[in-house]
Amino acid sequence: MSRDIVEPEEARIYGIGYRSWKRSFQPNSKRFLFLTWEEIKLIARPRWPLYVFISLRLIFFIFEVLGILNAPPSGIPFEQYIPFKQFYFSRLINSGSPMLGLTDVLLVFYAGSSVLSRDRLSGAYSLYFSRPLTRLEYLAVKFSAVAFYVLSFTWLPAIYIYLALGSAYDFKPVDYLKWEYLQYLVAVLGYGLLIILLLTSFVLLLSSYLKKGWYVGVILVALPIVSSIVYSILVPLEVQNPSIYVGPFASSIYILAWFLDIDKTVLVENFGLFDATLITSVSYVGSMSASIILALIAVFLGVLFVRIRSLEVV
Amino acid sequence: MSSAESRTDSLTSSDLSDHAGYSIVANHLTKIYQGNVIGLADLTVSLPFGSVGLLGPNGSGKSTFIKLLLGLIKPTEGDAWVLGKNIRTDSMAIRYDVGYVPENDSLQDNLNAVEVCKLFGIASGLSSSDAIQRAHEVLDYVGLDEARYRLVKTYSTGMKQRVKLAQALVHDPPLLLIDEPTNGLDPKGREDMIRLLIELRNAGKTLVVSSHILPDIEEICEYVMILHNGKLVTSDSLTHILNETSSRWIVNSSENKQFVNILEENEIPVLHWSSEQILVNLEQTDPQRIIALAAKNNIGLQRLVRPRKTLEQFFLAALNIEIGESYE
Repeated sequence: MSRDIVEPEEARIYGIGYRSWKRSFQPNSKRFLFLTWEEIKLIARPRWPLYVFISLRLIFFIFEVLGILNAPPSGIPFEQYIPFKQFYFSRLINSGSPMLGLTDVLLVFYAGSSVLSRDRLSGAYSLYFSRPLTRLEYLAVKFSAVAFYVLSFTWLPAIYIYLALGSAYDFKPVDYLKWEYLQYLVAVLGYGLLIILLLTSFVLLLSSYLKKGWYVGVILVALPIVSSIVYSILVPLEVQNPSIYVGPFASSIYILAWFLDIDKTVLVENFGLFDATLITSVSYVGSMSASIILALIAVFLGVLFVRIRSLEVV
Repeated sequence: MSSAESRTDSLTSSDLSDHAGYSIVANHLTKIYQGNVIGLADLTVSLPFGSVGLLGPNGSGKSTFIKLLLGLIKPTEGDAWVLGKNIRTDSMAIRYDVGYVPENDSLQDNLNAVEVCKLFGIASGLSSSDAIQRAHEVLDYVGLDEARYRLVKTYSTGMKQRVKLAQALVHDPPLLLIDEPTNGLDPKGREDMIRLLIELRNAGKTLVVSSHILPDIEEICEYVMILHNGKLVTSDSLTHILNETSSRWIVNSSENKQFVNILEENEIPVLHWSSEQILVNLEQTDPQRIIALAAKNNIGLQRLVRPRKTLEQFFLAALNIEIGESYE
């Protein structure tokens, strides 16, 4: 529907005169924080996606708590029933929340798909780059805003599952901070960070090239589909360590297992992960996959930086 | 340095080390785009403080010059200084002191005017609280009241131009680079924009206004620089340009034919005459002499005026010179 645009009365100039300003500027670090916060607010502005993601997380939360409470057969204490890290791993997999799954892909797509393309197509580059803001700072602001927004959704489930598990294991408040348990939370948060950095850098790179946000969505949806097709071809061929060849979408579960020090046999016997029989070891596949992801992040960010740095705003 | 010639010469090293008298200095500044398209060709010029008009037809290099000064594009050759700072080495420092009003839309549709000004205020280094306060001040100045809370996509062209001006002013820069500020505006919008710019000039800002609308430049600027095909045609003060024909006067008398003879007998050069008027050159003569001659010869003098040359005439003449045609 076209909208009639008229010059309204409120656009009258009252001749109040120009008022100057004392001109005091913030240091770069503060400017970076202020600007990142503004960008996060812009990403979070449309309320309905926010409500959808929060609702999804709440549903997961309810199911997880119920799952945790109903897990052990009656009369058997949790600590005898299943080791903490294994239980944590199983709940994370069940919830699907911190995995490289659909929710993360949707979140990153929503938050980052048009962050750069919008500026590029609206011509806002000329306004940003005529400010005392380096191209690297501009990218860092955009990247941090998207990553922070998505991480807030990805980390929260990992934290509340940790808290719920602690409650099931009869933790005292001080137990939550014991490195014996806390290391697993740190490992899971680190895993989440790795995955989100990968997705964010990839989506921003796409956003700097593509005209429409939904093009990014098509590529994001296509990638795991293609990955799983290739994976399903490799597994019957009994190719060793197939997930490494397919990429992050298939190998992320081994990174998490490696971070939480879950054994290969446990993966096969307790989690029915039959593909794990094809891997050399969890640590090998996990470390290789993590290295590949780090390399991909570096490549994506490098290309993105070179692209933005060499951009001429004509 | 008052003549166009002296400004367009190559700058010496002492000139380059001292830019105190100029807002912008360019030395052999050249920009060649991909495909060997010349954006700016060997531009050497010094622009004073105050209000400077960049004139030229579309594609003459006005926007390229502004974007080079801001570091939005990189020069192929040459150098330039903005407020004494080098565009290659002090680009960030320059941007604290410069506000930019781009020609194209540039505004994100999903923001309102306050958010635009606040966002770019923060990007300029203002704290969040300063940015919001300053956003309201500059929006008050450009005359956006309640409309400032509406999304930019609902604005008219005139309102968008004002928001662009407001965001450029948010960090109170001493120098404003303004690209085609009245493009696409209706007469009222144009009048308002010119008024705002004149007020800024009077408040002590240095304005560099690019436009191909000559009357706008004539109203706003004290100094003009004309570009054509990426080359500098001329640069001079507007007063100097407009007074260039001060020696030409128009005389209307009751007996033009007779009066022409009298003038020629008294060695006053008559450039042109008709039954309606006489055009004389009074470079060597006082206008009072015309009045005296008319009185002495009983000729009724109806009008004696010195027509002002318009900027448009100067501009067209300057471009004709550039393309090798004669200047009449």
